[in-house]
This record gives sequence, structure tokens and C-alpha cells, in this order.
Amino acid sequence: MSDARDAFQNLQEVTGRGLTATALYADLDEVERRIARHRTGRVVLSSFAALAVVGGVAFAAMSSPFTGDAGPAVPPAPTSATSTSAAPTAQASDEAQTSDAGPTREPSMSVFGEPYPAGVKTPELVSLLTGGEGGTYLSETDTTYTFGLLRPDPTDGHTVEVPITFSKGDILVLAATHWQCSWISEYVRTSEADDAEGTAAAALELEKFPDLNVIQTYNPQLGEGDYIPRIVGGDVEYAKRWLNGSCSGF
Amino acid sequence: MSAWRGLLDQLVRERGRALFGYAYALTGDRYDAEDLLQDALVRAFRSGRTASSLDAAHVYVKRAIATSFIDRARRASVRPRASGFGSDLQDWVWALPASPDHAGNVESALDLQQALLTLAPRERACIVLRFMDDLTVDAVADALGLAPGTVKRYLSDAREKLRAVLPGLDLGDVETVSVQTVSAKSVSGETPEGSGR
Repeated sequence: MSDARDAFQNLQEVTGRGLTATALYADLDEVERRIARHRTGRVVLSSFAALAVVGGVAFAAMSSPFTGDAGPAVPPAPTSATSTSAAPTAQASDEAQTSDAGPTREPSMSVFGEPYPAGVKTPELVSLLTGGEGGTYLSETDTTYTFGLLRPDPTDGHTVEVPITFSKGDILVLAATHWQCSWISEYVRTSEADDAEGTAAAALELEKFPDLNVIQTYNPQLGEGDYIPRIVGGDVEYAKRWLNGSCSGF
Repeated sequence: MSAWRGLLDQLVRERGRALFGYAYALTGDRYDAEDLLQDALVRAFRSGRTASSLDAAHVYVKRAIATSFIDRARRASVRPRASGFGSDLQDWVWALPASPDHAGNVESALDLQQALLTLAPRERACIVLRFMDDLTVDAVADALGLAPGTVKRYLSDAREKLRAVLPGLDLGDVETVSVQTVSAKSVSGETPEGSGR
């Protein structure tokens, strides 16, 4: 009589060798592409209200060429009840577009209307994308952004700009995640500097994340879990691991 | 290489065989197993939280394989589709790279796989998690989103069916034999890489 556990382990070992004969093993690119698509191109549904706001801002953006650090104009979505900033669209857009005019004492505003830590500039949205370095904003619709990303031309190897369209929701979530990472970094920095006031301010911003309108609208799961309470509860080592893991792509 | 790509690559390189074997035990078909593994990898890496280690990522993907298998079985029950149902075992598994005792190992693996394919999908998932993963009844229930009592019933039914087909297989007491090595709960809420990007 054979032991069931041994028999199952044998089955796993024997059939597991078949992995080397699969397309998956031969080329992991397809899996990576699927993951990348999920990360940057998931189809999301937005509410009619959000569409109306985005559409209005898109119109405004079309009449005001994209010029700088802030990326395309995006509605400063009303965030949570605890939000300290609900800047009107024009204000957010104006602040964003002037953010590359030179150093400023005022904090840069995120595209969804929340402030970045002092000294952190609002990034171009395209720069948040993997392979987005050197890319440019091209256009947008109510639900999408189109960026020109630099890619090698397969025919001659020269770099060419390829227009690629992304779900607007995913890009905004990406921006929110970047904003969150900036505040985690600020939380770590101020904690290690024994700057209690700065740490408290960072904690206050981080606690907004689950209730940000863009998170609630497009990916509320990102705000769930116990990682934010754990970070703002003072676990600086955990915060550092978070920076090295989830935030390492920025 | 970004962090998630590095971890994905390491996971497939170092744990891919175990994961594929796990998926194969559930599906009994190499193409279904490959699809299942690929879906589980995508599911695990597409968003979420950073896993603390390769082990945590491994457990997460295994859990994703099991739940995806159950989901597929549920869909298939509504809209049946053609399945290899073990048809490729004889000609494919035998052709796998040989080990010194290849014949004996393969023979017993084939017997067990064929026996597993006589089980209903949920019974199969429960018994595979129970013996291949060394999970307790409660852990199996947690991984598959079932009530512990339901898992006990599936395990009991599976044991009876397997005993009928493989009388030489010692399944013991499927409900109490347990050496849970890595708890799926240890990575609950985590996926192998962080959000964004």
C-alpha cells in the first residue's frame, strides 16, 4: 500500500516536468504582456458623472496644448470627506501646467487634486508608464489617453514614436499610486528625521488614499488591506519594504 | 527588469515545474494546465500587494490555480466544452524527460491521474490540496472559499471513489492527517508585486 502523499508528490513531479514542453516556458513574454495589459490597459467603467467631468476637461485640454510636467489636464476629482483639497479643474490644471516653470514653494498638485510632498513635482503621466521615458502626451477621449511611446522600429532598429492608447482610469490609478508612494517616502523620511509634524502630515495624506475618488471609482481594492494602517501606525521598516516593492517601479 | 518581472521569472524558473504539475493534477490535460498556470500567474501579478518572498508568491499562485480551476469547472458546468480529459496522458507523459526510475514513477502517476479524473472538479480540488499541499481541512476550505463541512464531504466522497479505483493507495483519514507547511493565509491579501506600473 502506498502513501497518498508520496503518490501525489510523484504525480506532481512527473507531470511537472512537462512544463519545459509548453509555450509558456519557452516564451514568458505573453504572460508578461498580459500582466502589463492588466496593469495599464484594463477596461474600466466610469460613471456618467465622471464621464461628464472628464469630457469637459478633455475639451479644455484640447484648447490648451499639453506642455509640461503635469501631464494632461485631469479633473481634480472630489476626494473624501477628509480631503483638504478640492481645487476646481482650472486651478488644478493651471497649477500643474505651471509646475515646470521653476521651483515653487507651493506643493505640486496631483492630477486628482491632492498635494504632493514639498519638493516633489507632479510627474508627466506618460513617465509613469513602463517604457514611458521620453514619451509624449498625444490626445485623450472621455475614457482614454493616447501617448506616443518610444519603441525600436523592428525594420531598422531606429527609435520611433508609437501611439498607444490606455484606459484613463488605469492611468489615473497609476498617478494615485505614484502619489501614495511619494507620501510613503515622505513618511519614512520624516520618521527617520524625528520630524513628528512631518510624519503626522504624511500619515494624514496616506490615510486619504482609500477614499480618493479615482481609487473608489476605478480600483477600490487598492485601498483595502491593512498596509496603510500598518504604515501610518509607525512600522517604518514595513514602509521601506513597501517602497522597495510596490513603489520600486517609479 | 522591473521587480514584478524579476519575481515572475524566478518563480517560473524555480517553481514552474511544481506549479505546472499542480495544475496538471487538477486538469489532467496539458493545455488546460498551461492555460490554468498562465491565468494564475496573470492573476497573481496583475495588481495587489508585494509578497514577502518567493515562497509567498508560490503559495499565492497555487491558490490562484485552485480557485481558477473551480471557477472554470463552474463555468464548464453551465457551458460544457470539449476537454482532453486525460487523453494526452499516455502519449505525452511517457515522452517526458526520463529519470532513473522513470517507468515506475510514470506508471503510478498515470494511475493516480486517471483516478483523479473520475472525481468531480471540487472533489478533485479538495483532494489535491489536501494531499499535494498538505493542507488541513480548514485551509482547503479557506483556499477554495468553501465551508469546512463541505470540504469534509468532498474529501470523504473523493476518498471512497479513489479507494474503489486504487485500492492500494493509503489515503488514511483524509480529515485529520495534516502537516500544513505554508498557510495560504500567510499571504492573504498579497500578490507577488505591488500595484501600479
